[in-house]
Amino acid sequence: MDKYYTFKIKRYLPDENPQTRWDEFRVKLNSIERVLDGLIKIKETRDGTLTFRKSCAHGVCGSCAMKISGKNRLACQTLVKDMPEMIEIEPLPALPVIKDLVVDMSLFFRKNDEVLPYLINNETPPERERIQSPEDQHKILESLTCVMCGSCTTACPIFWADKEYLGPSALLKAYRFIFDTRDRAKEQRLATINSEHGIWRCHSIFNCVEVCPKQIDITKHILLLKRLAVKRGFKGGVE
Amino acid sequence: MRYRLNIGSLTWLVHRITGIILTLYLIAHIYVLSHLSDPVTYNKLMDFLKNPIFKIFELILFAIVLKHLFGGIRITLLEIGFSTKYHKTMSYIGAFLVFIIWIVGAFYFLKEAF
Amino acid sequence: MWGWLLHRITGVFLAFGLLYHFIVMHYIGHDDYSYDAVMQRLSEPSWKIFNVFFLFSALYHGFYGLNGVISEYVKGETVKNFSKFIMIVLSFILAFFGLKIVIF
Repeated sequence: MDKYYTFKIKRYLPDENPQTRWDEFRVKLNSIERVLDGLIKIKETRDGTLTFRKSCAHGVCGSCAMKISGKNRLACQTLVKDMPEMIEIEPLPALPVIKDLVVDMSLFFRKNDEVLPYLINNETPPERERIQSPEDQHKILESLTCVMCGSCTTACPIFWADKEYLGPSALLKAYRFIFDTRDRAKEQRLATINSEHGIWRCHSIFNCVEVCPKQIDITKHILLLKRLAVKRGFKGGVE
Repeated sequence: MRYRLNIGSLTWLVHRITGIILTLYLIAHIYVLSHLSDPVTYNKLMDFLKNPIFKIFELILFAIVLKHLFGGIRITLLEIGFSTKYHKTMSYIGAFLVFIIWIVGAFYFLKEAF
Repeated sequence: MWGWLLHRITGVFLAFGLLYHFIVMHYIGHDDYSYDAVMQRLSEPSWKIFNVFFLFSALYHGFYGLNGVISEYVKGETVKNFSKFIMIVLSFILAFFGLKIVIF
């Protein structure tokens, strides 16, 4: 069923005007279409200068994360029928805006880099793959589904206040490797997240869990990391 | 920056605000009690605090203490290992318990005052 | 990490301690805040000891929390360290006054 929706988009065109402005576009969309479809329609038929990121358009690349009606979401996964008639669209909060709905994600990726997001295992590699039992894989299964969209970290009030905070995404990535039985750099990663701006700055606000497009319970993973750190601390490991 | 508030972030915000207020109250409480060194000034201060407006402040303080207490219990339970699936339920139950206990406490408190 | 853990432990202790504090004040003490009643209560050693632990827990819990909040909103390493220093000094000053009241 086709319906008219008003897309109220926060525009920022630094070459033209250093001030942001709100543009309104009325588009006719089928109710099962997504916000991304509306944005593409606007860009193709109304205003070619509208700039946003998109790639796969089906929820696995994380490119189209933005603030839609006050909450971070993937534009390609947000059905217009679930939205009010006036849809407010803004870039992700707390990151520098490059243009319109495109933000500078380098700070976000830098935090992920800090937890060494790659397998570290200097033992002689086996003939074929490194074996991991289904039970061991299960421990990290949820954390594997992260698409690095940035919705979580940019939704975290701690990150808003303190840009040094590692943030839910990086902490989840740390979990993914610390609890991976094939990895051998547990201590190193634990030391990174046990720092001033690591797991102890999480206050279980749950904003990250609210917005994760893959429904990952990030706070649960951070709590598991906290428990691990305390256990290690008493055994005389991490400090 | 506007961002939608949900039960998780609201619980945190209330917890943070009540925490700050209680720390400031602690400072005030110690200041008041430091007058115990001299019975005359102490009794004068106590008479001043008998003003009904302070009774209302005490009731508000009671609510603030209860809110922070139950918020803290929720966080501690989550950190010990209670399933995060129940974080919203715990917020609601906590709010309900705060309300009930506050009403009961307020009733007895006002009864004694009058 | 140990700071965080102590914050949680003092929190739990304060929860029970506050309950005890309330019961003593309002039920056993019958809301008697007169100079004599308070001094009478304070002369009892078990109440004194409890209050010392209670005071230290409350000061630690409150100021650790307050320091956390301030260091989140304040920018710059030096300013953060300075405010942490102020918090510690403040808590020690209050501990001194508090101890003076309780131990007398």
